[in-house]
Amino acid sequence: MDKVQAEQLLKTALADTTVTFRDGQWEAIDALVNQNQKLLVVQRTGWGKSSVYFISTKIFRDRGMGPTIIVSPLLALMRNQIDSARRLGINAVTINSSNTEECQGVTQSILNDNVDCLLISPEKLANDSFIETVLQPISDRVALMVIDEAHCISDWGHDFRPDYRRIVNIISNLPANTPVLGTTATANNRVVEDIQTQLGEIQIQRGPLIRDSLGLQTNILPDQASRLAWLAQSIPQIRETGIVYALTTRDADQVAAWLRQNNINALSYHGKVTHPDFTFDNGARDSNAYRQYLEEMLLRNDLDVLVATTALGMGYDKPDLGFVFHYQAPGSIVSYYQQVGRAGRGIDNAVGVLLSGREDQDIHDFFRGTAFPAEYQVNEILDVLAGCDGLSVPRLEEQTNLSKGQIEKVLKLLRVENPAPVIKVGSQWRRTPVPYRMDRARIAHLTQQREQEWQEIQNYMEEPNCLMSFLRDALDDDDLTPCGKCENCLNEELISSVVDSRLVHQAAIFLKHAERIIKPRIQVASNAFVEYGFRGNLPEALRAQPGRVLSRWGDAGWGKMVADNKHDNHFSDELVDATVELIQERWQPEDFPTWVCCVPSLNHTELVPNFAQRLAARLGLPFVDAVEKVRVNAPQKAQQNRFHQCRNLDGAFNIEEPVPEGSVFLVDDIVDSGWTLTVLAALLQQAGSGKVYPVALASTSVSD
Amino acid sequence: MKLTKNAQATLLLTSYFSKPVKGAAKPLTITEWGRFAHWLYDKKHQPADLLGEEQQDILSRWQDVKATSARISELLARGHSLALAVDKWQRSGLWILTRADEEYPKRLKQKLRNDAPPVLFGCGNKDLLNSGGIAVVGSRNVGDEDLMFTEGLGQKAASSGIGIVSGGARGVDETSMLSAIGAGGNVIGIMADSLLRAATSAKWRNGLIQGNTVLISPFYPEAGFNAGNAMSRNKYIYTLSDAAVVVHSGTKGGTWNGARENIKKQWVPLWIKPTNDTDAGNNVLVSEGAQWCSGNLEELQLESLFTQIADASPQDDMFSLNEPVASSASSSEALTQEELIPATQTNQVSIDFYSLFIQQMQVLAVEPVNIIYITSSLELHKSQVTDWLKRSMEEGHVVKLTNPVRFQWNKGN
Repeated sequence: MDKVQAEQLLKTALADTTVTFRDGQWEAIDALVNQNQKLLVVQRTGWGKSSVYFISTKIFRDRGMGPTIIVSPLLALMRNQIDSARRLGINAVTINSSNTEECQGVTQSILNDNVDCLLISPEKLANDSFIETVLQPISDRVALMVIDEAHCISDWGHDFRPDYRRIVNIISNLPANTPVLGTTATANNRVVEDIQTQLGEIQIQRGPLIRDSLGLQTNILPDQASRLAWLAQSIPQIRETGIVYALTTRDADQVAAWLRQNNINALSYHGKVTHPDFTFDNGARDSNAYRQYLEEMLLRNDLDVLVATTALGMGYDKPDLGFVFHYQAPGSIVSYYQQVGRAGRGIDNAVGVLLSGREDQDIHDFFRGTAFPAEYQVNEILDVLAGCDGLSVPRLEEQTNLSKGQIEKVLKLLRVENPAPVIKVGSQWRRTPVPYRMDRARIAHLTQQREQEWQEIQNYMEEPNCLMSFLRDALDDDDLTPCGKCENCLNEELISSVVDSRLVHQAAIFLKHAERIIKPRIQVASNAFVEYGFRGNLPEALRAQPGRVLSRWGDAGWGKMVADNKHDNHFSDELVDATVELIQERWQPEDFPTWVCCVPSLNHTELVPNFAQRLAARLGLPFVDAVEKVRVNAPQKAQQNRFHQCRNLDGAFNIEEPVPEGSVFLVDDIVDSGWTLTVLAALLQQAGSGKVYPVALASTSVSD
Repeated sequence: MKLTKNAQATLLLTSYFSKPVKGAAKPLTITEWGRFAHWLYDKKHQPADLLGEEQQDILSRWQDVKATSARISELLARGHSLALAVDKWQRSGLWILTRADEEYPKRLKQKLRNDAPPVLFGCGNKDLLNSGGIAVVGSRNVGDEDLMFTEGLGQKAASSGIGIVSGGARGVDETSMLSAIGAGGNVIGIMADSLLRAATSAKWRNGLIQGNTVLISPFYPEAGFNAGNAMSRNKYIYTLSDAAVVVHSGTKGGTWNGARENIKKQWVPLWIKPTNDTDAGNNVLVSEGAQWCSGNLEELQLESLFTQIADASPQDDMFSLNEPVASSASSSEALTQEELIPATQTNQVSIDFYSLFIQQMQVLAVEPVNIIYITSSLELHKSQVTDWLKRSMEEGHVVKLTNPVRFQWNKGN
């Protein structure tokens, strides 16, 4: 196969006799199809790496070989790639968690050799049952393996993912006669070297990274209200649609809600986003389907802005994206470059503004601090698994006091080790004979690396010279000619950083109205309520109503005051007023309660009853001290999973009967898992009360 | 742990990576591989060369009715299958040894020659593979008395510092191994199936993690039970041991065939436990050349089992060295049986132990071996071996290699 023949394939596929290869494309194809090389291509997004692997696929298929496997980290990317494959006449399919229904048909066509290209996520490649049922049957014939966003392999990469370690193990076991292509748009020299070390004998091809149409700017606006105001006044100034990045799902939801309140057509996009219209056949919410819908809305400009977390990341390709604003600063320059680089791919002018606030530091501290599970959690799980022939996650919850999330985080860390101390067989986790100690040095190294990356972002915020050059330099691009488009090159702001004080005031009020719904718990852990006798799903008549929590612990609205007041052992009248306002003006429960009670505590006997009494007085309702704590139990916040959260409450409370018949507000200060409120709601209704509406001041639930 | 290119090529040619698929090229058998590997060697090639540009050139010169060039190319193209399978196995704690590896058990190479499997999968402490011990074999279903004997034998071996070698199957195999592990002894298990599963089972876990158990299998680690594999596994149990005890044998089946194969090949001294079971094949095995050992554990001297005696009661101790049968060389060795252990043929009161040592070294140290291997093979104290090694080097019988320190019989001597 020579260049002319390969180019002819491209021309034929696109039915366009004028197309030619871009710089480097043929060289990459040649290395794969003629020399069976292992190759890492570092080229800016939009360079056309997909032409490389799709034309290579065509050539391999013409030789009668099996399909190409493309490992790609994001759904959005896969959909784009499947479309561009189709334009080249290549039958590409994907198997992922969002298409489980079609999965069987897709699998069959793969097994029948009707598929040219199979796109899968790194998680799929780490899934043993997928490997067994789909990959192994065809793996004798697979022609090429492609690892998209290969920088994720590196510990030094900004976006290291555990499942990529599994990919490294597989790739480094590929014999010398097997070609591999890794691609990335964001890898500095250190990352490239690290990838080389891990994969061994891999060739590198590197191109320039500049993005001509993008104008950059940075603004430090410490308080959230100012940044919300800035977004609300700046977004309408730009004709094209864009993306606002936030750090947490809660922030994304909040910013989107604020923008909507200001007549900007905004929706939030993150890993947990769902919509009642997008469900699986069994009625469960299908987040993937809704996210796909959101991506398409933005592609068609049916939205002004998508407010996203990093879940909208690599590979989302919309050529006419006019702006990328950051409500909060990302953790590293590489991830900033990647996110801001989505703007202006196919248009002459686009703008990227990085806002930074005072909470960013705390959020990144939290991310760093929770990136790895604690050593005691790892040891506890290994000890339990060592004593048996395998346990499922729910059984692990019973045998350890660790949350499902913690258990899964531990297992995720352990299973990608090589050799690994645990493996998954069916739904069971089994201990292997591999001795294991947590690699503290590696964790310390990674944490330190994250701190350095965060420092680099601070430096970017304060950079006096060309901002684009700063980014290119950080990515080891040699050409550092000033861009002539950023606020420093132009010596004037692209978008004014002066915010309208009226808007700032409105944003501050908006932030104080940041209450959340307390979702009633329904399914109790089995064997947990021996004394109370609750089992399975709580009957409808005993369930709590959806409640309200005024703030998130420590947040910019009321959360800080809740935290300070709790420390002083007295909740202020301001919080009483705020709760009354929440209840009367925004919540307005349907079957409005006729009395108030509260969750008792043996440690702080006055704090919550005192608050509840004042609240009752302001609402004009009687306070009834109906709930008694009869057993000293461990702090509920020390209970890490459903089983222990439930069991810790069994027999802890007694209801003093009779209770009033009407609906009731059940007041507590802090809500975490929500089980205390759920159990008391059931007990109160058993004792004859009406509906139970939980109210709390702050939430500390991690899932918020 | 990355496989060498030679190991990758060997694995591609000889191993399954998933359940056999209809129509796909079958991995080479041990015999086919032996033929091909010899030819490669003759042509001054290594298996790794098959993974480079020379592959077509090399294979164009190879002719074989069964192991055709086309079949070999098809096997070599299974790179992705290899990578997926090896990743899974290594993550689960399995390792892979080929004959080229330093840790590959020397006994298999010496006693089985070309029949030694090209690839061994395993988990646990590789160093135990050369340490020998007593093979304990028997039926899956045996009576309580036999199981108690087996359990006691495992414990006794453990407390005497002697390893147990067995097949990991239910019944006698498992009992002997678990009782030895329980008593802190060394155990070598040769699995006929499901090595991957065994590696993650609670029953073997402690021994594996603590380093006194090693489980190996020459078969695809995820293979289910297969009578053929179970049968061919027997030869590895015998050849990895120094002596074998049959607790109970039927008159057909794995134990029976394995024991008779050992009698025929004379790999190791074979001892049979007396039984009252009239259906048992124990008697016949003795009539075919095996010997009774004591059914009373307290009387049984384990060290004495390492030397076979033709005409003696089982109670005899290790100093009854009359008329031994060769125990450690295959028929292909140039040495005759007399040359192997000649000194023991006389009934002299004083035996020259040093010359016995020298004669043993001719066999033991054909290839370089370390001192631990020598001490464990000969059941001697290290200080004694050090002494004799020094003398044998001075006399030019043995040469010392360094880095790591090993000793080899001086063929030019």
